[in-house]
Amino acid sequence: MAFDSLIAGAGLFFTPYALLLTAAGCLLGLVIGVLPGLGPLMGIILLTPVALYLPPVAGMGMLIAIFVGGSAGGAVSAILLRIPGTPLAAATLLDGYPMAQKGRAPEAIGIAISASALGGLLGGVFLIFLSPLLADVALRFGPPEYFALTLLGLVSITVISKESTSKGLMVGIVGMLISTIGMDQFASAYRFTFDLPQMLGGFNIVAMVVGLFALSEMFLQIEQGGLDRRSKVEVVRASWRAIGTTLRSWVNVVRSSLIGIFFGALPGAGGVIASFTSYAVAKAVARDPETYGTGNPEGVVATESANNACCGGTLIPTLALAIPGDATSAVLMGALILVGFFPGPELFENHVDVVGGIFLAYIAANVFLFVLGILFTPIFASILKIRKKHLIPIVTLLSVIGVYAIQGSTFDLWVMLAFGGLGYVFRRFDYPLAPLVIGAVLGPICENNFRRSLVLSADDYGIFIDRPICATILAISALAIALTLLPARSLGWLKRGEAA
Amino acid sequence: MADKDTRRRRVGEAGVVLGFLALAGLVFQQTRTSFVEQGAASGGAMYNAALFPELLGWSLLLLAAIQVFRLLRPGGQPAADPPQLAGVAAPEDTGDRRSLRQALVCLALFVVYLLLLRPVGYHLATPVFMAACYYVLGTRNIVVALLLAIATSLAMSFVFEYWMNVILPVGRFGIGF
Repeated sequence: MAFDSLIAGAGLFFTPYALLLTAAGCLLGLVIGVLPGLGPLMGIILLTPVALYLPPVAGMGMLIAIFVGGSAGGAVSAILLRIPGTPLAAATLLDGYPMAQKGRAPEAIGIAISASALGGLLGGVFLIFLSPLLADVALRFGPPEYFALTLLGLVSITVISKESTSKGLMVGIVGMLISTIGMDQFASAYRFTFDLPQMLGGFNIVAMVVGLFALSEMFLQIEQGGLDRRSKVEVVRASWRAIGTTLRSWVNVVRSSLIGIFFGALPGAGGVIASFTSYAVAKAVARDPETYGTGNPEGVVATESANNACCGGTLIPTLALAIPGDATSAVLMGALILVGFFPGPELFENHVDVVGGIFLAYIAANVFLFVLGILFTPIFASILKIRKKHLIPIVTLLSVIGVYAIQGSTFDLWVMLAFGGLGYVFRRFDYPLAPLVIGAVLGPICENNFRRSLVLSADDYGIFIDRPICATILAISALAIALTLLPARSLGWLKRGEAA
Repeated sequence: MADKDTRRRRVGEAGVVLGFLALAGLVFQQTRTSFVEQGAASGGAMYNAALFPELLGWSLLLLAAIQVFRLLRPGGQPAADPPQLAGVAAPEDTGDRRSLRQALVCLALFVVYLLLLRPVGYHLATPVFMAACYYVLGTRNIVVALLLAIATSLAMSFVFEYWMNVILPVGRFGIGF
């Protein structure tokens, strides 16, 4: 099955256009990852409108390459400036920056890039072999199980995220409510359209996401100040010899990648948890744990291989089950839907060539990451000198034109602005943004399967309890919510039980 | 000062929760009026378009009630953590009036730009908007701001109009590639 998809996808992916766009996406991802305050999510959001104009596999290849490049790019600024370009690289600076201070910045960047590429490739192997198996299992799921799965996807993201669970759930529900705007899928009724013809199809997901993440981020960046600040950074060239160091640490690469894949596949966990966990594990099993934090290359290997392996892990439930693990994969999933392919078991059944093309794009992106990451390090270091006052208007304009390009609609621009305001308020008061996107993406799947289940059972809600898999998944969701929402003293019985 | 900040934050939190409550209220208002008029607010799951939104509305009400309880309980002050900028860094000087003024001016410029984009067209509105933004954000040399604005507007139009065949707003003057 895995090889069949790769063979089927080869025809779609191995075209000069798709290869070039994957390479370009990787380069763009690296640039965006290097710049503090941006990151793979922002890159994917800004370039999604462009991807919609491309052949599906080429467009998705570009976005996936941005994901891969963006996840690795943050290491450059972490090593050179002690400022992680993305949260994913926060653990990398623990040893990367001390290495740079000792004059070993080229080696640290070389290790970070090569470990990221190797971790990403291992993640790719798991993606290629695990996702068809998972999709095969999911084929046996009926509407109740699917309904329960979508709920679990949303709940796990809000429960694991660092913000309050109730706030996360509220935001997720708002996302789901937004997804109900427009024509109802079952009855011929318009919902929440307020007689506005522009609302008949609901809000454009890209306009929402760009507003929520990009516009609110730009506003906060201006508010934060330091627009004229220029980083003093030494332009360095990554060392090719560092690859040898990474390869010699193959046990660390494999172990950290497995941790990354696990946390990637777990909805809500993501690369930050993966990289800190792999760092902690690497330190715990090391013969010289006292050298960690003082410039030990093994620390950089652990964090970077984990956070890029996480990309492959995240794509497993996204492609196989249509359950995105985080906001980035939710946007990727949204883009895949917009280009006409719905993730989930049917994608593996009916569009095996597209699945194969995506797998190949992911693998190729990691190969490009390795080559381009090492070759263009001096450029990335120079990019760190760009002042925010020059960058912010460009990102804003790209947001406007990108959103306008999708439907040629100025209404979408107002939607983007409104969601920008919402994103700003949510960030100010510690409401997570990711559940809104995931709620909006999962909403239609959740409602569709909820109502289909009830149609199957003649409106008997017992169907959700009678079916063991569905009941188990729902019980896990309920338990996860209860454990995080209820005050600690209410759970005293549970703790007493554990102690006994 | 800290008390004032906490109070301001508490008021803000309460405002956000009120927003959620208002949204839930809007859901119920719609399902009991517009949905009823369309005959889509009752019956089985197949015909009841209000079923799922109402379920979400009730859930939102419940969670908002939990938030209200947390806000009102003695000592239950909201987390005063600074907002996360994409999880990267917390703002160092969000209270800085100059930065806030810059952000608000940029927002106002953005609104004006959106209003003018269709009637004036991309090729006239964008360079002006971009130059104004560059100026407000600190590029005080007007010539440099204008050159940067024209360059970025043209580069963006090349990508979208020339490469992707997107028709950007031409405005009343019909300017486009």
